[in-house]
Amino acid sequence: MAQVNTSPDNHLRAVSDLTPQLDIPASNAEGSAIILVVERDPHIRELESYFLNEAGFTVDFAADGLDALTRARDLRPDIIITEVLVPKLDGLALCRTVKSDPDLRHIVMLVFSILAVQSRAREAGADAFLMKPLAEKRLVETVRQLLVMRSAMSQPEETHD
Amino acid sequence: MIDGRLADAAADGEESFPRIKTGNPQADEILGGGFPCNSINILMGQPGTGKTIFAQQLLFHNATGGRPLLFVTTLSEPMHKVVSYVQRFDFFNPGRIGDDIQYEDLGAALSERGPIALSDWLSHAIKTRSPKVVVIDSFRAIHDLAISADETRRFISNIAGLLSAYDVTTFLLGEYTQDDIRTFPEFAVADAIVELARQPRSSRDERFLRVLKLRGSAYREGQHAFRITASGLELYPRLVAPREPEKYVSSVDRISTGVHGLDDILGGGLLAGSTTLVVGMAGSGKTTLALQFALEGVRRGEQTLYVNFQENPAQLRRAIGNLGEDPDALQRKGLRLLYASPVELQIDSIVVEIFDAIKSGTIRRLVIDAVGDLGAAASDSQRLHDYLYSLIQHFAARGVTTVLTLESGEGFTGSTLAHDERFSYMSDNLIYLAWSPLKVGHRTIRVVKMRGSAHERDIRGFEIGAEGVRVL
Repeated sequence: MAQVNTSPDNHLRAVSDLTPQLDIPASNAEGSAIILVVERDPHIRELESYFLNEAGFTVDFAADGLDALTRARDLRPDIIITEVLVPKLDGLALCRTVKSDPDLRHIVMLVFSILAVQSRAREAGADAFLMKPLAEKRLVETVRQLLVMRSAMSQPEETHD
Repeated sequence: MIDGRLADAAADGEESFPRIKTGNPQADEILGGGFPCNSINILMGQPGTGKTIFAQQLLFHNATGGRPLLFVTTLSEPMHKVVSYVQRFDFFNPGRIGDDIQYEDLGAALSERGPIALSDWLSHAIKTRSPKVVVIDSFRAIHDLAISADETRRFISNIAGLLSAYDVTTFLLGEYTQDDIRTFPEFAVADAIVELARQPRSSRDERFLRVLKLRGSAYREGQHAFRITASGLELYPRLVAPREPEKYVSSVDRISTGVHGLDDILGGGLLAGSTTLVVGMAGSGKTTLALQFALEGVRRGEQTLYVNFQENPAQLRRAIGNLGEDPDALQRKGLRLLYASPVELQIDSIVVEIFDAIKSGTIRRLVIDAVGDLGAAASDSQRLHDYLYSLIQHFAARGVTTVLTLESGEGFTGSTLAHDERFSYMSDNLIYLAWSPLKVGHRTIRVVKMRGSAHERDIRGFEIGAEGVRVL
């Protein structure tokens, strides 16, 4: 089932437009998905963890950008959700590093920040940007749609190569 | 790869300042559009000032289905009373209670477990109910729980962190005082602080709303009067001078005063759009002169507003009749009478009423008889002068020719001039009327000032007859 965004926000219309014909079972697209969250704020960590777990995802945390890179290599997450303002390696630098690393570049990068830096996030290679505060419906739907989109996009890429 | 395809994904993040409406258009106007969304706001004021009503009006206005709005009572406000009283207001809608608006009482849990009961409840509510708005009434009561200042600080920091992390707009209500603002940590984390106050004034109380803080947004400063009615808070936003005074264009057109002989000593009449202050002792003929000015306007087909605080409508109609005119015919032709008893007069409501009348743009002449009565009704005289100054700027910008009367106790003495100075500086023209009680029939008129025009400076005699004031 394609996760076409039906929320009034329309914030992910670009994603839905891309995948209207897909019919990927939810379990395939997201059932075993692993999400690495890079976040310092304990309240946001707690709420993100709660809502993403409730939605059926496995969640792990990193407290800074360097830690996130290490964990990403070990954990091979499907998605990294990162704040921009994290120590050692900021969220945007983390995006650039992940996207320029052949072993990691397949990981979907979602920048979730208090800063309105959507264009800078895009330049850094992020696949999506969300502005804080946390609204669970928006977060979970974005994650689902990114996973659907990744599945759709990885297929033609592999055959092309 | 998929990058770049999500450029629009963050569009809603770019709406940098979404607002939540209060359900009260005047309050929204004062707040520059409403409270910021995803914010922590404090509504402070002594018991009975209207905080709970204001918050509930906001809740019912925003109860539009979707995510719920939570109203939680703590220690000071029993929940059943809150719910019981709200039913008396027009905005109450029983259909919204339950799914949309959820009331909850944390009093017992707080007494038993302390402030942690509130943070646990909030965390659980956010996870399980996705609230759009949370109202905590009273939040100040938390300080009454026996915990140390350090514990309080940590508790509030924790609550603020949780509320900031999640997409929710919070209102903390409390019987806070001005001193609390400096000492209580919730004021440091608040995005907006709105104070509701009640001040005794002779036989009645005046209520005011004041914005003390509103992060990242312009708002209308100062005290805004309000009443509590069946519709909730009825607010009168403080009038401010128009933002673009440059629109003021001095007119060279002359307006007849309708007073025999007065136009001559005014250099041909009053300049259109000017403001004239007529000062004199009781019985000196101010009202008669002002009425003649108003009636002359009606005769010339100009919409005219006559505001008065002394003669009741019957007395005023008689005064008009004494000048040989038919009050009903004049009202049909465009005379509008606005009366407020000086005893019941609330300056904010009358100023709003006058302002609404001139906003229509059709009023050409206006009389306020007498501005001193407004002064007596104002709880502070500086506020009255700010009001009048703003009103007069609006009159000028709209080309309304205005006559204000002012009663002076002592005739043409130096002390009267000093007393009246603040009134006179805001008027373009100044006319003094005097009469000597010792010398029967001896009345004098003097044009003291006339901005932008030559005028006669001599003291002239005048009489009051069947046609009103007549300059000799």
